[in-house]
Amino acid sequence: MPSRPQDRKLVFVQADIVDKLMEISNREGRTLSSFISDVLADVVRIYSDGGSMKDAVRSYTIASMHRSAGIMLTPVNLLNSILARIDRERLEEVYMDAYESGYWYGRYISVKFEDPVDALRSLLTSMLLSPVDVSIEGGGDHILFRFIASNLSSEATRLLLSIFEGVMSALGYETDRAEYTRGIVIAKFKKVGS
Amino acid sequence: MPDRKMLAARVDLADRLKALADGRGVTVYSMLNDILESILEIEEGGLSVRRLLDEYRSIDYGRRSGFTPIPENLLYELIDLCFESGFSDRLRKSWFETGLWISKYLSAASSIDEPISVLSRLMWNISEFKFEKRDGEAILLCFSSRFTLNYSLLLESLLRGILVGLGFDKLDSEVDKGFIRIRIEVKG
Repeated sequence: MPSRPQDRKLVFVQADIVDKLMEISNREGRTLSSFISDVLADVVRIYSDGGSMKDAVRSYTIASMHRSAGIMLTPVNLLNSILARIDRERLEEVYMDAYESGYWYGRYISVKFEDPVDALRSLLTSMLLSPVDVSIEGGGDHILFRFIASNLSSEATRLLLSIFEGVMSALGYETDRAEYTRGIVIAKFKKVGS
Repeated sequence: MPDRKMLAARVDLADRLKALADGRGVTVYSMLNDILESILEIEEGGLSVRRLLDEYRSIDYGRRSGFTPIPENLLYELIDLCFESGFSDRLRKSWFETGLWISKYLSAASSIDEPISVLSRLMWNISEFKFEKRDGEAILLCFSSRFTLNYSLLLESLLRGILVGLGFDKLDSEVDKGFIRIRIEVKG
Protein backbone atom coordinates (compact mmCIF):
# COMPACT_ATOMS: atom_id res chain seq x y z
CA MET A 1 0.00 0.00 0.00
CA PRO A 2 1.48 3.45 -0.90
CA SER A 3 2.44 5.57 2.09
CA ARG A 4 0.39 8.60 2.97
CA PRO A 5 2.08 11.85 1.87
CA GLN A 6 2.48 12.99 5.49
CA ASP A 7 4.45 9.84 6.49
CA ARG A 8 8.10 10.70 6.99
CA LYS A 9 11.36 8.89 7.57
CA LEU A 10 14.42 10.48 9.07
CA VAL A 11 17.54 10.39 6.91
CA PHE A 12 21.02 11.65 7.66
CA VAL A 13 22.56 14.35 5.47
CA GLN A 14 25.83 16.29 5.69
CA ALA A 15 25.15 19.28 7.94
CA ASP A 16 26.68 21.96 5.67
CA ILE A 17 24.49 20.80 2.77
CA VAL A 18 21.36 21.00 4.92
CA ASP A 19 22.29 24.53 6.03
CA LYS A 20 22.76 25.74 2.47
CA LEU A 21 19.54 24.11 1.28
CA MET A 22 17.77 25.75 4.19
CA GLU A 23 18.94 29.16 2.93
CA ILE A 24 17.55 28.42 -0.53
CA SER A 25 14.19 27.17 0.74
CA ASN A 26 13.91 30.19 3.05
CA ARG A 27 14.58 32.48 0.10
CA GLU A 28 11.70 30.81 -1.75
CA GLY A 29 9.48 31.11 1.32
CA ARG A 30 9.11 27.33 1.70
CA THR A 31 9.94 24.83 4.37
CA LEU A 32 13.05 22.74 3.82
CA SER A 33 10.97 19.59 3.90
CA SER A 34 8.58 20.81 1.17
CA PHE A 35 11.47 22.03 -1.01
CA ILE A 36 13.36 18.74 -0.73
CA SER A 37 10.30 16.54 -1.27
CA ASP A 38 9.30 18.56 -4.33
CA VAL A 39 12.63 18.25 -6.16
CA LEU A 40 13.61 14.86 -4.79
CA ALA A 41 10.57 13.16 -6.33
CA ASP A 42 11.72 14.20 -9.82
CA VAL A 43 15.39 13.52 -9.13
CA VAL A 44 14.63 9.99 -7.93
CA ARG A 45 12.59 9.42 -11.10
CA ILE A 46 15.54 10.57 -13.26
CA TYR A 47 17.93 8.24 -11.42
CA SER A 48 15.46 5.36 -11.65
CA ASP A 49 15.38 5.84 -15.45
CA GLY A 50 19.16 5.52 -15.50
CA GLY A 51 19.85 9.28 -15.72
CA SER A 52 21.61 11.68 -13.40
CA MET A 53 21.56 15.34 -12.45
CA LYS A 54 24.43 15.88 -14.89
CA ASP A 55 22.15 14.63 -17.70
CA ALA A 56 19.47 17.06 -16.59
CA VAL A 57 21.91 19.99 -16.58
CA ARG A 58 23.29 19.01 -19.99
CA SER A 59 19.80 18.64 -21.46
CA TYR A 60 18.83 22.07 -20.11
CA THR A 61 21.98 23.72 -21.47
CA ILE A 62 21.55 22.17 -24.91
CA ALA A 63 17.86 23.06 -25.09
CA SER A 64 18.74 26.67 -24.20
CA MET A 65 21.36 26.68 -26.96
CA HIS A 66 18.97 25.31 -29.53
CA ARG A 67 16.37 27.84 -28.52
CA SER A 68 18.72 30.73 -29.19
CA ALA A 69 19.88 29.11 -32.45
CA GLY A 70 16.33 29.04 -33.84
CA ILE A 71 15.89 25.29 -33.59
CA MET A 72 12.47 24.04 -32.60
CA LEU A 73 10.98 20.61 -31.90
CA THR A 74 8.27 19.01 -33.96
CA PRO A 75 6.76 15.50 -34.09
CA VAL A 76 8.74 13.52 -36.66
CA ASN A 77 5.64 12.00 -38.29
CA LEU A 78 4.43 15.50 -39.14
CA LEU A 79 7.77 16.32 -40.73
CA ASN A 80 7.53 13.10 -42.75
CA SER A 81 4.00 13.88 -43.91
CA ILE A 82 4.89 17.45 -44.92
CA LEU A 83 7.88 16.33 -46.97
CA ALA A 84 5.84 13.56 -48.63
CA ARG A 85 3.52 16.20 -50.08
CA ILE A 86 6.17 18.37 -51.70
CA ASP A 87 6.88 17.63 -55.34
CA ARG A 88 10.30 16.38 -56.38
CA GLU A 89 11.50 19.58 -58.06
CA ARG A 90 10.60 21.74 -55.10
CA LEU A 91 12.27 19.24 -52.80
CA GLU A 92 15.66 19.98 -54.37
CA GLU A 93 15.19 23.65 -53.42
CA VAL A 94 14.18 22.57 -49.92
CA TYR A 95 17.37 20.53 -49.55
CA MET A 96 19.42 23.58 -50.58
CA ASP A 97 17.63 25.68 -47.98
CA ALA A 98 18.24 22.94 -45.42
CA TYR A 99 21.94 23.09 -46.31
CA GLU A 100 21.87 26.87 -45.72
CA SER A 101 20.16 26.39 -42.35
CA GLY A 102 22.80 23.83 -41.42
CA TYR A 103 25.55 26.18 -42.52
CA TRP A 104 24.20 28.89 -40.23
CA TYR A 105 24.00 26.43 -37.35
CA GLY A 106 27.58 25.35 -38.03
CA ARG A 107 28.73 28.97 -37.86
CA TYR A 108 26.81 29.35 -34.63
CA ILE A 109 28.50 26.42 -32.91
CA SER A 110 31.92 27.35 -34.31
CA VAL A 111 31.58 30.71 -32.55
CA LYS A 112 30.20 29.18 -29.36
CA PHE A 113 32.64 26.30 -28.85
CA GLU A 114 36.40 25.86 -28.99
CA ASP A 115 35.99 22.35 -30.39
CA PRO A 116 32.85 22.58 -32.54
CA VAL A 117 33.09 18.98 -33.81
CA ASP A 118 33.11 17.67 -30.28
CA ALA A 119 30.23 20.03 -29.42
CA LEU A 120 28.29 18.76 -32.41
CA ARG A 121 28.76 15.19 -31.23
CA SER A 122 27.33 16.08 -27.85
CA LEU A 123 24.49 18.18 -29.29
CA LEU A 124 23.37 15.43 -31.65
CA THR A 125 23.43 12.62 -29.15
CA SER A 126 21.61 14.65 -26.51
CA MET A 127 18.79 16.13 -28.51
CA LEU A 128 17.83 13.82 -31.32
CA LEU A 129 14.74 11.72 -31.19
CA SER A 130 14.73 8.12 -30.15
CA PRO A 131 15.11 5.43 -31.33
CA VAL A 132 18.22 6.82 -32.91
CA ASP A 133 21.79 5.74 -33.32
CA VAL A 134 24.19 8.52 -34.18
CA SER A 135 27.96 8.69 -34.24
CA ILE A 136 30.57 11.17 -35.36
CA GLU A 137 33.91 9.43 -35.63
CA GLY A 138 37.33 10.90 -36.18
CA GLY A 139 38.31 14.54 -36.10
CA GLY A 140 41.19 16.39 -37.66
CA ASP A 141 41.15 15.88 -41.43
CA HIS A 142 38.47 13.19 -41.74
CA ILE A 143 35.09 12.71 -40.09
CA LEU A 144 32.65 9.86 -40.51
CA PHE A 145 29.01 10.55 -39.70
CA ARG A 146 26.60 7.66 -39.18
CA PHE A 147 22.96 8.09 -38.37
CA ILE A 148 20.15 5.55 -38.03
CA ALA A 149 16.57 6.54 -37.14
CA SER A 150 13.94 4.08 -38.26
CA ASN A 151 11.06 6.54 -38.08
CA LEU A 152 12.45 9.03 -40.62
CA SER A 153 11.08 8.94 -44.16
CA SER A 154 13.45 8.92 -47.12
CA GLU A 155 12.83 12.65 -47.71
CA ALA A 156 13.38 13.50 -44.03
CA THR A 157 16.62 11.49 -44.06
CA ARG A 158 17.83 13.43 -47.10
CA LEU A 159 16.82 16.68 -45.38
CA LEU A 160 18.88 15.74 -42.35
CA LEU A 161 21.87 14.90 -44.55
CA SER A 162 21.61 18.31 -46.25
CA ILE A 163 21.49 20.07 -42.88
CA PHE A 164 24.51 18.10 -41.70
CA GLU A 165 26.46 18.82 -44.89
CA GLY A 166 25.75 22.52 -44.30
CA VAL A 167 26.97 22.28 -40.70
CA MET A 168 30.17 20.51 -41.77
CA SER A 169 30.80 23.03 -44.53
CA ALA A 170 30.66 25.84 -41.97
CA LEU A 171 33.19 23.91 -39.89
CA GLY A 172 35.58 23.71 -42.86
CA TYR A 173 34.77 20.21 -44.16
CA GLU A 174 33.57 19.11 -47.59
CA THR A 175 31.56 16.01 -48.38
CA ASP A 176 33.84 13.22 -49.56
CA ARG A 177 31.16 10.55 -49.86
CA ALA A 178 27.53 10.51 -48.73
CA GLU A 179 24.97 7.73 -48.92
CA TYR A 180 21.48 7.61 -47.57
CA THR A 181 18.47 5.40 -47.61
CA ARG A 182 15.27 5.70 -45.56
CA GLY A 183 16.36 6.28 -41.97
CA ILE A 184 20.09 5.71 -42.55
CA VAL A 185 22.87 8.15 -43.40
CA ILE A 186 26.57 7.40 -43.82
CA ALA A 187 28.68 10.39 -44.82
CA LYS A 188 32.39 10.97 -44.94
CA PHE A 189 33.82 14.47 -44.75
CA LYS A 190 37.32 15.79 -45.32
CA LYS A 191 38.89 19.03 -44.24
CA VAL A 192 38.98 21.55 -47.06
CA GLY A 193 42.49 21.68 -48.52
CA SER A 194 43.68 18.46 -46.87
CA MET B 1 33.69 12.67 9.38
CA PRO B 2 31.57 15.76 8.51
CA ASP B 3 28.77 16.77 10.88
CA ARG B 4 25.42 15.27 10.08
CA LYS B 5 21.88 16.49 10.42
CA MET B 6 18.61 14.66 10.11
CA LEU B 7 16.04 15.42 7.45
CA ALA B 8 12.46 14.22 7.41
CA ALA B 9 11.87 12.70 3.98
CA ARG B 10 8.62 11.33 2.58
CA VAL B 11 8.52 7.59 3.24
CA ASP B 12 7.94 6.65 -0.42
CA LEU B 13 10.89 8.81 -1.51
CA ALA B 14 13.14 7.47 1.24
CA ASP B 15 12.27 3.91 0.19
CA ARG B 16 12.94 4.60 -3.48
CA LEU B 17 16.25 6.23 -2.56
CA LYS B 18 17.20 3.17 -0.58
CA ALA B 19 16.37 0.89 -3.51
CA LEU B 20 18.45 3.09 -5.83
CA ALA B 21 21.38 3.18 -3.41
CA ASP B 22 21.24 -0.61 -2.93
CA GLY B 23 21.21 -1.09 -6.70
CA ARG B 24 24.36 1.00 -7.01
CA GLY B 25 26.08 -0.50 -4.03
CA VAL B 26 26.30 2.78 -2.09
CA THR B 27 24.74 3.98 1.14
CA VAL B 28 21.60 6.11 1.24
CA TYR B 29 23.66 8.75 3.05
CA SER B 30 26.21 8.96 0.25
CA MET B 31 23.61 8.88 -2.52
CA LEU B 32 21.46 11.54 -0.92
CA ASN B 33 24.46 13.79 -0.29
CA ASP B 34 25.50 13.48 -3.94
CA ILE B 35 22.03 14.38 -5.15
CA LEU B 36 21.63 17.29 -2.76
CA GLU B 37 25.10 18.58 -3.60
CA SER B 38 24.15 18.60 -7.30
CA ILE B 39 20.99 20.52 -6.45
CA LEU B 40 23.06 23.04 -4.50
CA GLU B 41 25.53 23.48 -7.36
CA ILE B 42 22.65 24.18 -9.75
CA GLU B 43 21.01 26.71 -7.46
CA GLU B 44 24.32 28.38 -6.63
CA GLY B 45 25.04 28.58 -10.36
CA GLY B 46 22.00 30.81 -10.70
CA LEU B 47 19.61 28.21 -12.13
CA SER B 48 16.39 27.06 -10.58
CA VAL B 49 16.51 23.32 -9.98
CA ARG B 50 12.71 23.20 -10.25
CA ARG B 51 12.80 24.79 -13.70
CA LEU B 52 15.66 22.57 -14.80
CA LEU B 53 13.83 19.41 -13.76
CA ASP B 54 10.61 20.53 -15.46
CA GLU B 55 12.52 21.17 -18.68
CA TYR B 56 14.33 17.86 -18.49
CA ARG B 57 11.07 16.00 -18.05
CA SER B 58 9.48 17.79 -21.01
CA ILE B 59 12.45 17.21 -23.33
CA ASP B 60 12.62 13.60 -22.25
CA TYR B 61 8.95 13.21 -23.10
CA GLY B 62 9.61 14.83 -26.49
CA ARG B 63 12.49 12.50 -27.20
CA ARG B 64 10.54 9.39 -26.29
CA SER B 65 7.43 10.40 -28.20
CA GLY B 66 9.25 11.19 -31.45
CA PHE B 67 9.81 14.94 -31.49
CA THR B 68 12.76 15.97 -33.61
CA PRO B 69 14.75 19.21 -33.76
CA ILE B 70 14.45 21.26 -36.95
CA PRO B 71 15.37 24.84 -37.89
CA GLU B 72 12.22 26.87 -37.29
CA ASN B 73 12.38 28.86 -40.54
CA LEU B 74 12.87 25.67 -42.56
CA LEU B 75 9.75 24.04 -41.11
CA TYR B 76 7.65 27.14 -41.84
CA GLU B 77 8.93 27.14 -45.41
CA LEU B 78 8.06 23.46 -45.86
CA ILE B 79 4.55 24.07 -44.55
CA ASP B 80 4.04 27.01 -46.91
CA LEU B 81 5.07 24.82 -49.85
CA CYS B 82 2.49 22.19 -48.84
CA PHE B 83 -0.25 24.78 -48.50
CA GLU B 84 0.64 26.20 -51.93
CA SER B 85 0.24 22.69 -53.37
CA GLY B 86 -3.29 22.47 -51.94
CA PHE B 87 -2.66 20.09 -49.05
CA SER B 88 -3.83 22.37 -46.26
CA ASP B 89 -6.90 20.32 -45.27
CA ARG B 90 -5.02 17.03 -45.25
CA LEU B 91 -2.22 18.54 -43.19
CA ARG B 92 -4.62 20.04 -40.69
CA LYS B 93 -6.24 16.63 -40.31
CA SER B 94 -2.90 14.90 -39.72
CA TRP B 95 -1.83 17.55 -37.17
CA PHE B 96 -5.15 17.13 -35.35
CA GLU B 97 -4.68 13.35 -35.30
CA THR B 98 -1.14 13.73 -34.00
CA GLY B 99 -2.55 15.95 -31.26
CA LEU B 100 -4.96 13.15 -30.31
CA TRP B 101 -2.03 10.72 -30.20
CA ILE B 102 0.08 13.05 -28.04
CA SER B 103 -2.84 13.44 -25.63
CA LYS B 104 -2.81 9.69 -24.92
CA TYR B 105 0.57 10.02 -23.25
CA LEU B 106 -0.26 13.29 -21.56
CA SER B 107 -3.56 11.96 -20.20
CA ALA B 108 -1.63 10.00 -17.55
CA ALA B 109 -1.16 13.32 -15.73
CA SER B 110 -3.18 14.10 -12.64
CA SER B 111 -4.54 17.43 -13.89
CA ILE B 112 -4.76 19.47 -17.09
CA ASP B 113 -2.05 21.85 -15.81
CA GLU B 114 0.68 19.24 -16.07
CA PRO B 115 0.32 18.41 -19.79
CA ILE B 116 -0.04 22.10 -20.58
CA SER B 117 3.19 22.76 -18.70
CA VAL B 118 4.99 19.94 -20.58
CA LEU B 119 3.75 21.28 -23.91
CA SER B 120 4.72 24.85 -23.21
CA ARG B 121 8.27 23.78 -22.39
CA LEU B 122 8.58 21.40 -25.32
CA MET B 123 7.21 23.79 -27.94
CA TRP B 124 9.57 26.59 -27.13
CA ASN B 125 8.99 28.28 -30.49
CA ILE B 126 5.76 29.57 -28.93
CA SER B 127 6.81 32.90 -27.39
CA GLU B 128 3.88 33.10 -25.03
CA PHE B 129 1.81 30.14 -23.94
CA LYS B 130 -1.05 30.82 -21.54
CA PHE B 131 -3.72 28.57 -20.11
CA GLU B 132 -6.37 30.33 -18.07
CA LYS B 133 -9.29 28.66 -16.31
CA ARG B 134 -12.40 30.51 -15.19
CA ASP B 135 -16.11 29.84 -14.69
CA GLY B 136 -16.31 26.35 -16.16
CA GLU B 137 -14.19 27.11 -19.19
CA ALA B 138 -10.55 27.48 -20.07
CA ILE B 139 -8.73 29.46 -22.70
CA LEU B 140 -5.48 28.42 -24.35
CA LEU B 141 -3.58 31.33 -25.86
CA CYS B 142 -0.42 31.13 -27.98
CA PHE B 143 1.54 34.00 -29.47
CA SER B 144 4.65 34.28 -31.57
CA SER B 145 5.64 37.02 -33.95
CA ARG B 146 7.66 34.50 -35.98
CA PHE B 147 4.80 32.14 -36.86
CA THR B 148 3.50 32.11 -40.39
CA LEU B 149 -0.26 32.01 -40.86
CA ASN B 150 -0.06 28.45 -42.19
CA TYR B 151 1.99 27.24 -39.22
CA SER B 152 -0.49 28.96 -36.88
CA LEU B 153 -3.34 27.05 -38.55
CA LEU B 154 -1.54 23.72 -38.15
CA LEU B 155 -0.52 24.39 -34.57
CA GLU B 156 -4.14 25.19 -33.74
CA SER B 157 -5.12 21.78 -35.17
CA LEU B 158 -2.45 20.04 -33.12
CA LEU B 159 -3.43 21.80 -29.89
CA ARG B 160 -7.12 21.22 -30.55
CA GLY B 161 -6.35 17.51 -31.07
CA ILE B 162 -4.53 17.40 -27.74
CA LEU B 163 -7.36 19.12 -25.89
CA VAL B 164 -10.06 16.96 -27.47
CA GLY B 165 -7.95 13.87 -26.72
CA LEU B 166 -7.72 14.95 -23.10
CA GLY B 167 -11.51 14.92 -22.99
CA PHE B 168 -12.39 18.58 -23.34
CA ASP B 169 -15.14 19.95 -25.55
CA LYS B 170 -13.97 22.74 -27.78
CA LEU B 171 -16.28 25.74 -27.61
CA ASP B 172 -14.59 27.85 -30.26
CA SER B 173 -11.21 28.80 -31.61
CA GLU B 174 -9.63 31.70 -33.40
CA VAL B 175 -6.43 31.70 -35.46
CA ASP B 176 -4.44 34.46 -37.07
CA LYS B 177 -0.81 34.83 -38.03
CA GLY B 178 1.12 34.30 -34.80
CA PHE B 179 -2.01 34.05 -32.68
CA ILE B 180 -4.10 31.10 -31.49
CA ARG B 181 -6.98 31.17 -29.03
CA ILE B 182 -8.89 28.01 -28.15
CA ARG B 183 -11.78 28.07 -25.68
CA ILE B 184 -12.75 24.80 -24.04
CA GLU B 185 -15.32 23.66 -21.55
CA VAL B 186 -13.94 22.43 -18.22
CA LYS B 187 -16.24 20.07 -16.38
CA GLY B 188 -16.17 19.54 -12.64
